[in-house]
Amino acid sequence: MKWILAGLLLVMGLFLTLSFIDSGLLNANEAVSNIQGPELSVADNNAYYKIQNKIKESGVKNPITAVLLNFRAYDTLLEIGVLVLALFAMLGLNAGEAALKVSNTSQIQKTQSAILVFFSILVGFYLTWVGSYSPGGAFPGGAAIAGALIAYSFIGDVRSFFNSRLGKLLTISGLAVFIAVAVLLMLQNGYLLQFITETASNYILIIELFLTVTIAMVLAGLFLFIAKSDISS
Amino acid sequence: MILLLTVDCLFAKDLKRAITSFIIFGLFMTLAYVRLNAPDVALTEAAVGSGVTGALLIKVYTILKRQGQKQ
Repeated sequence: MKWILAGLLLVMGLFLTLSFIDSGLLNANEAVSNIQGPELSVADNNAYYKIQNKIKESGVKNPITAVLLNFRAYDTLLEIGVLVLALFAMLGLNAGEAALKVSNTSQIQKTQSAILVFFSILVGFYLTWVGSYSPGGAFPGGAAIAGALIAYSFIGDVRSFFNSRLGKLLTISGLAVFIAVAVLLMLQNGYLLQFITETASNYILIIELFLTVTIAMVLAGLFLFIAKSDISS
Repeated sequence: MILLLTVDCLFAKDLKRAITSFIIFGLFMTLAYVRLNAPDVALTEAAVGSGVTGALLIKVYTILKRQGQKQ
């Protein structure tokens, strides 16, 4: 059963990688044809200037966020798909096993973790929020919150939270919201993930917030569930 | 420094040493990205490349050691 799941995962990963390459090529062609347009003929042959010329249309001020969530949003969507797929495969491999007991940690560690959790979550969401106009974004923010979840696993039972309905809902939320926005924009504007400059910043912020939650769940989940798959084998 | 750490990470006989140098390599890469005016990449490298990947590698190392002791 395990090997079937693993094989399935491999094939899906391969397909997703292929579609990555495909979309990358398509976007690259599109970008090239855009740059050769008349309004951008002044542009230097440099990625930085290319982005700076277009950034006003993206709705965000930070070039990295503009590329990740507006110009190449399709790539990011598939990336999140891969992450969620990996976590659910791992949960599937470990399904039906008893939850591990909370490891015996000292009082100092417990207090420290309890304090750390709050600040890590705060820092994580701050990084996401700040990502629209300065360095930051969903990935580092999600990683900070993943750190909080791992710290919390020293004092509480995080593993059963991942298997609960709420946990699964949170894990899938980023991908679901991303796809929902993509389809909504397709219905409005005719193309998948075709942002309009006026509303782009709102949509990007909503996507980023839910992406942070998903990334946090996936990164923490991958860390927490490796140990369980060891025991079963 | 980064190159030295890379060589150490790839060719170290001791797995633990390789993992440690990988984490230090990540932290130095963070500094390099900051110097290259790419704070976004630096943040992500520090959090994901060094933090999460390092933690995962250490965890896998302990699991491998435990399995080795069982056999």
